[in-house]
Amino acid sequence: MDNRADIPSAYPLLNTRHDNARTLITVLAIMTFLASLALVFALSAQRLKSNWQDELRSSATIQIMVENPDMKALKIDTATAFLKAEFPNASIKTIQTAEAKELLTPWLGSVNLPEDLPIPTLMTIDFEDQKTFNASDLKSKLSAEGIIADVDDHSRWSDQISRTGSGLLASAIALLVLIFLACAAVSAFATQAALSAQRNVIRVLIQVGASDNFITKLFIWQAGKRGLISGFIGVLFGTIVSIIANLKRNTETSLIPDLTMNWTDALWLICLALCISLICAVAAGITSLRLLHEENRRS
Amino acid sequence: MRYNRGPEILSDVNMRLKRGSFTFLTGASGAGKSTLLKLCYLTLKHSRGLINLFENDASIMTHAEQQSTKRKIGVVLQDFRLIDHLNVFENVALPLRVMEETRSEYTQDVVELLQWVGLGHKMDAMPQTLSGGEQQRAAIARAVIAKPDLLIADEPTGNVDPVIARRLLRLFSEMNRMGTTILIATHDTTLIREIQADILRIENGQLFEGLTSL
Repeated sequence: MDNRADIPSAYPLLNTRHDNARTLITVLAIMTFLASLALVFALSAQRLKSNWQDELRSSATIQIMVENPDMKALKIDTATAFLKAEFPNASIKTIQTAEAKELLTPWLGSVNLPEDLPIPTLMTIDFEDQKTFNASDLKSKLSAEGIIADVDDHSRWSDQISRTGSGLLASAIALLVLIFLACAAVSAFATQAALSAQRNVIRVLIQVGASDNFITKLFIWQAGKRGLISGFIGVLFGTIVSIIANLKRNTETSLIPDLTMNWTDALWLICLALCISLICAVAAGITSLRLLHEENRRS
Repeated sequence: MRYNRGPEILSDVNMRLKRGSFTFLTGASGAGKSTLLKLCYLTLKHSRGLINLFENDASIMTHAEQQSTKRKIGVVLQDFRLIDHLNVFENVALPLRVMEETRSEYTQDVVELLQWVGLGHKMDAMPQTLSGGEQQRAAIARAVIAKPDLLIADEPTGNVDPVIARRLLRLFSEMNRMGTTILIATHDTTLIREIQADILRIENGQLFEGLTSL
């Protein structure tokens, strides 16, 4: 007689009804949500730093000192000709007085600036690729052409941005590590509670010859599964918040990076969910083995 | 054998089970039958003396060796110890799952055994919905499913009617015929007289042969 149709489906050996699984999943999901925001922030900071540096590295600003205002146009023409010859692939642009005044607006306000305000004569060089010149060499060459100029290759800003960007990245990574540690602690605590709550099941499993590894595998599987569910819930909410922040972000340049999302970030977020699952599983495995060994030593 | 600093429950007990033997262990309630069985299936540690299981000294067995030895022993306890959240099928299949057999490998065996013990129609039932006798049969099925080398049963027919008791005894005999060593603790003399088997009696913590004083 074939009763296969009546065979009940396989139940998990550990009882899942009485171990506060929902609370655990909620806590882990909240932590994963925070971790996903930290991760998106880290990726945004990295992107912003990289973009800023690329912009700064591919341009330079030259301030031409003109003692006699009548000579200003001549000096600019000479400098332009020299720079075009020196950097044939670069774009050389002279910043007009009106434009230069606009640059001062954030500091001096939008009221009409006095006509006799000594506005510096500025030129910008935009390179196709990253610049390769030496600022002091260029200054000497310009001086040889009779132009007294201050050459700013933006390295000062680039270094500061690099430091700020690295600081933000390190903070985000530190936050991620803290969240991972918290997840491991939560998973270990949950395993400890489950081992205690399911003492009867464990006792029967040991009676029928289950090894510590077999029992531990049950906890690893359970914690890994819960970690994965929480991970994906947290990542989903993190992604939604990041997308909303992305839509509402301020397009003006800001010192602190906005949460922006790229499609490649999705891969990182999937990895984050898997990471949370792995951390929960490993923490559960270590806790289960440790407690079972302690129990064996005592008995 | 003593519990903590209490009196000795068992003393000067010398018991040897021959491979493939069928032995009844009898004695009054509280005589120490269950304690002796617990020593045999490694749930209790003896305070002195020597226990050899499958030619291994139990006192120097590593934890892994103990677990491997336990897999060779099927145990039926008075309190059944069925897992509440697993149905009858899963409870019976437990030793095979622990041995990492796949579902397709063990399904047929479990179904056949459940039919044999009269629980074929209750495979999907949860233990708490079963009567005492049905729980006992499920516990027996779980103990024998992995075809253990040694089967230890503590009052295995205590909660079943005589017809089922005889049927279970036939199952034990059949297993014994196939090479399993059987040790059954009972004070049911009718059951003991049903088949030809060795009889050991515990009185005042000591072991005697035969049913003499009953």
